[in-house]
Amino acid sequence: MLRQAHRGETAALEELIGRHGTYLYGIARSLCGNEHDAEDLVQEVFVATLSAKFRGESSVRTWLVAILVRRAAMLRRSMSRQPLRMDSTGDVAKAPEPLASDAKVDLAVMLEALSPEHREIIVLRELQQMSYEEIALVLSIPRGTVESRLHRAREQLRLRFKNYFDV
Amino acid sequence: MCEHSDQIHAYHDGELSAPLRAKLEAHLAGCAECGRELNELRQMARLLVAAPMAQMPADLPARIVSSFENARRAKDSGIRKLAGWLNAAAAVILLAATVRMSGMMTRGTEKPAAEASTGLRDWELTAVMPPDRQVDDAGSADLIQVAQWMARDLSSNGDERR
Repeated sequence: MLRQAHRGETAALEELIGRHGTYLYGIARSLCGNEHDAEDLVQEVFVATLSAKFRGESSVRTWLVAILVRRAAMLRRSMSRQPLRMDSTGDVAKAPEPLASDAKVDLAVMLEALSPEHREIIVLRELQQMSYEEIALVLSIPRGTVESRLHRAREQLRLRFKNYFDV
Repeated sequence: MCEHSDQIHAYHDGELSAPLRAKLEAHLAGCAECGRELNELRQMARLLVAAPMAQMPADLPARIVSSFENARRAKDSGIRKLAGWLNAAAAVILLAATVRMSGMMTRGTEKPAAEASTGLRDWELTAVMPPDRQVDDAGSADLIQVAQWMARDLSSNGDERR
């Protein structure tokens, strides 16, 4: 179906968008924190498939999410002159406030308190079930950095959602 | 903090080797702190996977198709232009090499023979031809003819006439 889309068959492209577009948008929205950037990002992901090579080593969805995460990182670097919510190491400036257990929680809300680097790690590990090696390849970081970032991201989430846990 | 707590995340993610996994599982059977941490990791993972996601705007699929088609057309157009440029660049390189070779094999102290025949400007020829080379070679005439043809072809922008 990817090949059909690249050959210009609109129906195949629409089918791909139908299968993966909503999921990709949800991920993009969680990574970007706003609708406008998320929409641009999703468009860029499908356009990027024209140049990127799908080797069939993962599912199409995982491949698309990997492209999306990379694009989000590029977008973030290009906007690096804007004031950042978090410092450059990805650590939060202060501990996130715990949410009340009856607060409405969607993925974007869950990840909004995290730094962009931590959101990427959580998306790739928890939602895409990628291994540490795969995450290291996608993000172009050492495996050790994957482990330490994941550890810190989860600690931030644990503090924020501790009221949701069964004791 | 338990000394094994740094392995809990890797264990949860299936990243421990079999021997380390077995060792940690034996430890988990008796460590409440590590057991609690593992339990929270699992609950967190379930929360994340089950969390609803933002819905895609209704008009976004059409915009994606439009962006994709525009990019595909631009890519096809770019490939054709690139092929054209590469052909022109190859011809220039070949001309420069051919003219240089014919210049190296031509006797003369005044104007190089190629220049007199092709009508090329002085600075163009001297840019590619070293001065005052002398050679007796029957093939040099053919090379000069090729250089003349290519020079006329490439310079046919109104300055030269066939």
